[in-house]
Amino acid sequence: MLDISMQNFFILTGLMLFSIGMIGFLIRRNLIICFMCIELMLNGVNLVFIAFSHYLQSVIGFMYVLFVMAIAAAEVSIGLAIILMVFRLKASVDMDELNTMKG
Amino acid sequence: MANIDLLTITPDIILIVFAFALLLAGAFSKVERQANFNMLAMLGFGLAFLVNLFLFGAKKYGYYNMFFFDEVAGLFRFVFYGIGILVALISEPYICGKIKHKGEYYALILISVAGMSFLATAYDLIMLVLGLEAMSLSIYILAGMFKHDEKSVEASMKYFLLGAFSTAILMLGIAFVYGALGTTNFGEVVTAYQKNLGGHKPELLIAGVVLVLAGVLFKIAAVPFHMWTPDVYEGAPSSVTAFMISGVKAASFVMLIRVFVLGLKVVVFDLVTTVMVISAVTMTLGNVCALVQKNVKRMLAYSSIAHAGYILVGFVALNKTSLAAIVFYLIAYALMNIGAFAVLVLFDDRGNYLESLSGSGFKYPFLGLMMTIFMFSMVGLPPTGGFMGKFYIFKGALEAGYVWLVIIAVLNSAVSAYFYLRVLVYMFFEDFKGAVAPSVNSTPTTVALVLTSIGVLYLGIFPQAFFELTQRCMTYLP
Repeated sequence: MLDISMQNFFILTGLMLFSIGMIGFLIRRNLIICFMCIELMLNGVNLVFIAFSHYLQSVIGFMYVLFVMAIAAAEVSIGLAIILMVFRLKASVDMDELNTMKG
Repeated sequence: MANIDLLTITPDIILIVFAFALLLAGAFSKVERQANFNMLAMLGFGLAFLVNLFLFGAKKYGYYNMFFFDEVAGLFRFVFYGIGILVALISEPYICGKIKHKGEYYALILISVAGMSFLATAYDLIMLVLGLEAMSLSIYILAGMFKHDEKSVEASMKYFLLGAFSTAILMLGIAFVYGALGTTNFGEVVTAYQKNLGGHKPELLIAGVVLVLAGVLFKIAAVPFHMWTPDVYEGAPSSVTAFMISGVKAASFVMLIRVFVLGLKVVVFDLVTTVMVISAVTMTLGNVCALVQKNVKRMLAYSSIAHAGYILVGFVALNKTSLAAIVFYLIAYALMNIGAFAVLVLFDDRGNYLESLSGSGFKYPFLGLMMTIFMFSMVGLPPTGGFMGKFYIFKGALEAGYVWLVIIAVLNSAVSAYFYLRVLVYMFFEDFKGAVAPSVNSTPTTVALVLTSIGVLYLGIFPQAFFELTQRCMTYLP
């Protein structure tokens, strides 16, 4: 179904953003960077939504983008607060410092 | 049909109003006057419960088909509000003196329960995500409520990172489903499937559904996505863990049922084999890891993974008995977990290690008796709710012909007897070392203990009436 090259390009760009975010999340050890990678993933999702919305000629997809952005903003505020809490306690934002619990 | 129906979401509006009232009250009142905030939260939950009782039984669409309130949603709302009341009861003696701003704590619990309730009524994938986020974001904060405790902060951070990651994956799945079907409304999926796709399933739809399933399984803590569970459940404050282990689990299973049995039912039978394997691996891994734990909270966390495996058996079987059994099991599971955590909460975190519980059973006979009831229920021994829950789940699976899965599950629950009963062995057959003592102001927790134990025993001894109610409510499958 998805054979129109332009749409494919946008969807692929969105997927690429998502993958970059995902790989970054998995390999980086800095909490802030990991957190930014999640934002990148959400923005990739946004691009995919917009591309599909344009392709299907329906406005629902554009609405979703607004919802996703709102969710991302809420996540930013909470995530940064939690990272700040970690930093106050450990004086570091390295993921390897979070090793109190094991087993 | 297309209308704004405020009546359907009145209970959630009540919860949110109470949440904001508590936030304001917390900001403007002195610490010593915050002692009755749990009563206010319970009042909110109680009112919501009553309104839901009044609404229960109706089938209503609301907000331009964004909501669909039916018996399943009503039933799960009762579960969530009930959990809210119990958690508000056990919280007060525990957080007293440890948390400065109690208003925030109860407000977050209220908002989180409102999110769960949105999850249960959602009729559109995007609405579902909003409910999920309202629930999860509150819980990320709740897990880190003890700001100066390393474990609590660590649990909060880990849960947040992995939770946000899983949300992103879930959203990509929704984007794919939207791209394939052109809609995400549960009511339009079947027509869109017939009209736009002509009845065949492109890779895009399958990929989207798999991603959505991964997002849901993350919240359920099924095996490839279970890594966060032990750390988060161990590190979070015990009252919050009780809330997560019962409420979030119930919410994620209602999400699983709503999305795949009500919403994307065109693909549900493609998933059964995958979920079957996941279920078998989940319960085995949960039980095996729980065998070696010395920390009771961590043991209960692994046991919650195992229980998720048992409940997934009900989803694999996919018939009316098994879906009703899922609800029954979730209720019994919530009651016994909140009860077990109420005992730990009453010991004020000093009884988290098995050794420190030594001898406490005879020293404090009431708590010993309660712990016995809850542990028996977790193993699945009669006459407790846990036994009947497992019985109905396995009955449904046998009716659907999954004999091997049931055999694996029964063997697993035999293994689980070891680590649950070990808690009782420590409590009753070791010498008291004076490590634990119940906290001073324990009346609310005692009330919660009595309520949960009565619930567990009631579900175990007279399950028939209640099971018939859940069966009547499960209208999604013939």
